[in-house]
Amino acid sequence: MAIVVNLDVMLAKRKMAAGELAEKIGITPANLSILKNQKAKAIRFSTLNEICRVLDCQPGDILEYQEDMI
Amino acid sequence: MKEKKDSGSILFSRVLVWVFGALLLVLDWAIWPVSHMLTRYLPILHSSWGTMLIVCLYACNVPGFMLIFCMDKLLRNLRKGIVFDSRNVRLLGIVSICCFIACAVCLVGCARIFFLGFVALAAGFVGLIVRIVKNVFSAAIDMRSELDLTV
Repeated sequence: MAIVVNLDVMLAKRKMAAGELAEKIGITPANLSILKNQKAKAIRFSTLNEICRVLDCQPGDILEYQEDMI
Repeated sequence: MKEKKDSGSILFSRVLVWVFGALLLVLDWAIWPVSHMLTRYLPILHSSWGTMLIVCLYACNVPGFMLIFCMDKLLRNLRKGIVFDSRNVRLLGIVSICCFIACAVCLVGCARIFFLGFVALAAGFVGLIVRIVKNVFSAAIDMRSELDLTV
């Protein structure tokens, strides 16, 4: 998958723990871990919406396309 | 209420599987005297037919009991809530192979006893249906794992 999830970077910038983010956006820590560790196959718009709302960022800050990751 | 219905249905299916297993055992025991009786009282039947029938039955025993064991195991998995799992796909694969083996044995027997051709056709068709169900389960497992990894 060429889409890279830069959630760690945003969490560090906002000084927020992963567990806290999971609680605020309403997903389990396990699911958030799947997203953080590049194992997710898909993300719902509603989840992306909540992440951007809580972290006060744009989708492009979280998701990045890298050609050589395929 | 629905869970009770489902577990009742699975239990009923398991009972039917055991009944078929018992019938197969009874047939194993009874086929020898029955075939002798048939060839004695119905001279129109050749004794070689009875022998071929016995050979076909005993040749189908291993796949037959394997099939019954796999179906029982599959139903036990369903009762535990293990549905779209690779174990069930493997069990369905074994069931379809057993059906195809029975089909092959009956096709060979068909050379002597014509009606075994119909049994072969039925066994082959059931094997094909089970194989397709196995493919459906495989696709469902892929879809489920995709869904599991959807955040």
